[in-house]
Amino acid sequence: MTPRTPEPDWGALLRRDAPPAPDPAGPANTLRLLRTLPPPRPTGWDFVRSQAGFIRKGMWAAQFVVLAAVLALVWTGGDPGSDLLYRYALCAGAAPLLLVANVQDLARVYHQGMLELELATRYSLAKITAARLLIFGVCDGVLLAVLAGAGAVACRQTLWVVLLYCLTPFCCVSALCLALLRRLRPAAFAKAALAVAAAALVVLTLPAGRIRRHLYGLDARPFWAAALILSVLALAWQARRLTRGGLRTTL
Amino acid sequence: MEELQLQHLTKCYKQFAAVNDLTLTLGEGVYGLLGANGAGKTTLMRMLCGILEPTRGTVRWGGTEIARLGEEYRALLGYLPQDFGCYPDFTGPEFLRYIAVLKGLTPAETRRRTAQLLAQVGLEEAGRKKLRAYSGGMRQRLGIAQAMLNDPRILILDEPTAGLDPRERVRFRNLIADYAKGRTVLLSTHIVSDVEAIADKILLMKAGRIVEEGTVAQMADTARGKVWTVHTDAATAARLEAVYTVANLRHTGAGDGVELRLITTDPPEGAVAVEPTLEDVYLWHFADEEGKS
Repeated sequence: MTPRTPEPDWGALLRRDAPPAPDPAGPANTLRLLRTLPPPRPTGWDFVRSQAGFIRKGMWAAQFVVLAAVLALVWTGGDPGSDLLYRYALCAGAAPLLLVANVQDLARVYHQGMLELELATRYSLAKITAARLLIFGVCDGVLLAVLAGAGAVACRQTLWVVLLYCLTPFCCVSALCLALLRRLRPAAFAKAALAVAAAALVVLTLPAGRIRRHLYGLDARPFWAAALILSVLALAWQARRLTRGGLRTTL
Repeated sequence: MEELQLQHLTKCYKQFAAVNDLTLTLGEGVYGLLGANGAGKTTLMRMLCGILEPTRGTVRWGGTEIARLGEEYRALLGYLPQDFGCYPDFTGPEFLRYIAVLKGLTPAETRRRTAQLLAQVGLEEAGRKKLRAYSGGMRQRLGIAQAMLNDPRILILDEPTAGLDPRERVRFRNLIADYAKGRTVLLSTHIVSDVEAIADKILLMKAGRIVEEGTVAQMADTARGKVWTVHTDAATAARLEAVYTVANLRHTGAGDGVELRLITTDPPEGAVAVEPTLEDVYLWHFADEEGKS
């Protein structure tokens, strides 16, 4: 029989193996280590926001003038009532064309020497363009909503109804345009986006007068609301993919 | 340490090969790229930055093609192009902040690096001055600062000392020599003395190929026995100048005495062999472009 090993004196060991005294150089060493770690990178949205300053002032002004002029025509022409909502929807469906028209301009590098620099940085020129497009598109939508909202208040229309009929076609067409932008080369994109907007306008104008009254009547509003929610989700998804992956090609 | 591996790298413009079947490995250290105009230096640098797509061959970082690494590779890269343009309405700090955004730096990191680099390149005083008012040298220094902004592992500088005065060139050399530890720095310049002072390895490029590579001492050895000095009169000097590649001409003392430094394998009578410099090596390799012996 093997002799039993005596139990160590745990109490004495614990007293002897006391934790070491704090190392006075410890915090400094930790700071030194932290400095060697790579800094955290900003999220894609920070980058997108930073690009707002690089869209030309003239483009912002042109966007405002065109939208205001079109909406002024909506407010002044024709009969109020459901026809006014129809005109709002038409105008909003065509609004993303402002963005399509500006794609080449947003993608341009205004100083040739910058092109090489921007191509060699972490964020590619394609991503820069995508970010600028996104900013311009969001501002387009906000401006449309603000102007239409102001018009609705001035014409004593129900605000949310006007916004519903404005934002739904706008978001649908924009989501489709962004999806095309990710897949097509610039020349093909402009044509395809025009076709999408034209198709949207045809869908809005084609129904006969009776159907149109139903389309812009009280009963149709839940469908418009559902379409708005779906199109906003689609738009957000497309925007997210665009900022993460950039465009298919440099413009 | 990861390396930049170039394998059979070729870039053709129609029938002309700007870079021709170049195989090379760039590890840690400063590499000086020397070559005449049109030798393919800028094309090579653009391909290393991923701006130009090679016609054939690959550039790999750590074994992976840079095209596949994409954003991950560009995050490691600092680049100063030869024709460095910038938005003229920016101030220096604004320009660096813009580049910092493109390079994906955080605001805190941007503030720290901007202040640090502006001081290092001697532009801290230029604060609110617009870039349109910058001199050529100031713009070049700002270009160097933007290239180093993201603390890159690979720094590629195309003619970084162009337009810098001697004091600024010395400052630049010290900056790069300090910076290069643990990193890959590739710089091209026409100013041989800049490369001589800081480069660990020289790459001599001619007609799209690396014709010679090595340390400054190794390169100098390749021209040993081909560099001569000869003391003569002005009339003979003029005759020799027409025949030989002359690295230097110096009038000596009074009268028409002239000392010539010749690069040749067939020296004239009375010539004495001297220690070659990197400039001599350069002239030796590019002598045929002048059509001399």
